[in-house]
Amino acid sequence: MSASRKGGAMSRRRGMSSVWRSNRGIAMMLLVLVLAIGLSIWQSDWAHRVLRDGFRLGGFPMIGVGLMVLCIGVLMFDRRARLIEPEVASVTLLSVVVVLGGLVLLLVIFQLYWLLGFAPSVTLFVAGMALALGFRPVWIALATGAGTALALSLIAYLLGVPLPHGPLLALVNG
Amino acid sequence: MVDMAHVIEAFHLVFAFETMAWILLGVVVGVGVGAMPGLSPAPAIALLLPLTFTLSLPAALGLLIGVYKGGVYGGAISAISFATPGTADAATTVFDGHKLMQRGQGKKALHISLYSSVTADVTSDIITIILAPTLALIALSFGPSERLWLIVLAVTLLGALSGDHFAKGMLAAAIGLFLATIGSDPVTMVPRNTFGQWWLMDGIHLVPLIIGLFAVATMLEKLVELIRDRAARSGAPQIVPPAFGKSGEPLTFREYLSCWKEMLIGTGIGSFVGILPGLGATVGAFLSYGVAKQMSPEKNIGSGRLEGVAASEAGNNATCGPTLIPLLAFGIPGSTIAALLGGALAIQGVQAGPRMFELYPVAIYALFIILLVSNVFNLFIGRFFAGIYARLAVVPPPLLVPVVLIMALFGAYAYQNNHYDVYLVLGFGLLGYFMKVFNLPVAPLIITFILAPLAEESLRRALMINRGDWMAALFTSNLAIALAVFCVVVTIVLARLQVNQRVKTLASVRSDDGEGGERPGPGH
Repeated sequence: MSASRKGGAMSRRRGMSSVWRSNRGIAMMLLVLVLAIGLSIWQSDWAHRVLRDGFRLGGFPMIGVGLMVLCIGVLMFDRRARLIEPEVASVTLLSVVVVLGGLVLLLVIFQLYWLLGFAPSVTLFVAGMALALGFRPVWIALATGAGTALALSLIAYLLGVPLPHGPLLALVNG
Repeated sequence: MVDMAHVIEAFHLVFAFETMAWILLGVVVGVGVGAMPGLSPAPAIALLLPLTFTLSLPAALGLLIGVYKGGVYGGAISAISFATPGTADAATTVFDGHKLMQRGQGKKALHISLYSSVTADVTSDIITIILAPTLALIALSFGPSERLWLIVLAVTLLGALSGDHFAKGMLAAAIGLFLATIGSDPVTMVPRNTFGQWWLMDGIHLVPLIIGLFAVATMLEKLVELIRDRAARSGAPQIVPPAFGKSGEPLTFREYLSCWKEMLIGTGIGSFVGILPGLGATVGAFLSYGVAKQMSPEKNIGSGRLEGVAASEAGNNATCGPTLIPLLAFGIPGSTIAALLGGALAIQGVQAGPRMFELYPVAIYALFIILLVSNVFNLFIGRFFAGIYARLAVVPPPLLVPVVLIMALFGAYAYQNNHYDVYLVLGFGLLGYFMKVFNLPVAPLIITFILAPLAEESLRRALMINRGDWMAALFTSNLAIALAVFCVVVTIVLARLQVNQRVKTLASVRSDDGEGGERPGPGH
């Protein structure tokens, strides 16, 4: 009894999940986002300001929002509205965590440029990520990291791009 | 009328040591990028684009065109060697190429892929050189109203032919239009749509957008695959086949000539597909292969024939030159690569379009010469270094992903030494990943992003000329009316017929046993 109830709840949950994974479900979520953007533009003072040539400043952004709403509307009601794209079906919590985690890691590494310096941060990131993804041997991962840092530093030098050296280099230089 | 002084000056610029070195470097990098499964020319060009602002115009064009042409050819190396196309463009090359490799005729397959690529590329470049100035002359007579409708038509075609869902293509274009409005009004320069962020007043630049949408999004997808598919990592490493040694039998001139019909089919179809917005090298290759197979059933293409490799490779490489025709003639990029090259020209202060022939004739001639010269480098690199590139195809993805991600971060920062560009790259990386998952094509977004300010300027100029009368501004001439009607007809027909899906079905002529091959990705 409890097993069948549990099974029913699971299939309902799966059913809900498949609704949100269909073109219509994703379109509905996008619609909420786009409408929120449209509303915030509409409520802004700048959007209603009339320019010298008689155009409203918010005119083109609102055309963009309007076109997005139109396309989302078609996605919600066309004959492929219930279709679930295979790529969407394969999205799991793990993949979301990996994508967001990857972006946060990149952000952290970018901040580390100023703390550790460009070259050590790049070496750390490339070698660390390669090892975390299962690459062996360790020395090749480290050499690739150091090589990438060296090559990018050289390109930056040739292009005249100032890169942060960080306190590490200052310590080395005394 | 061709001014020989400009042509001679362009020759001097292109044949300078600096430019030749950058073209060579571009081809070297491009073939490598093409040979490595998971990388393609578009992300590579996106990563290199911010670095071109310190180069001279011919050097910048040489580098990027070299990467593009090398990348389209390079996909064939891993397709023939490991049945893993380096890029989607080379998916049909697997059918015959890898069978030839298994039969010990890998060297012949590699040679015919190279020679057919270069033959088709040179021919289509000549078509580009003839056609672009002719069309530009016509485009010069266009007023703001006609220009507006032409942009609308291009965006509609892109939306319809990119990806496999018309509404999704148009949604991507609408996102591009919205992103282009962030910053300042293009006519009065008054800030708008900045969400209260001062750093957005300058608008979103093309470089962080494309690095995020291409390089970061592609690597995030690869990262998810790696984590999900851990078993693949424990697989035995691939071994570079012996076809690259000195022992393999090379292609004879007679064998090369025997493929003339397939190369002709590939060149014709590839050139036509290249001009159309929204298609691209993948569709060019699939269509050429399909047509060649149907036209010569006696040759049994698909069973390991040189003709199959020739049709496929001629079909994808023939799109390289003609994809620039809409950009040069009308200022409207018809593909992502054309948009990226348009971006490179913009970084150098040159606005691509019909007036470029009047204002920057030397730059145009230099571009034409670079298109042809890069084929010579492609021939040289492909002929003598294919074995080395085959080794690149076995670079493990766990090593590739962090390197490309860090290069994306570096490219974003190097562009303007601006932190906010890096944050934008990460944001667009997330958007690009979402678009990949939801099957939203990226090309309409990028191209509409570039065209939106031009469309807005054209509309507002037409309104000013016609004193605010919308009807007169939009339908000022018979040509404008004809273009508007054509837009409406195209929208209705393409939306109802889902033409893109039909093209794909026609193109997806697979080998009898259906070996290998990636899903074609038009518009990329």
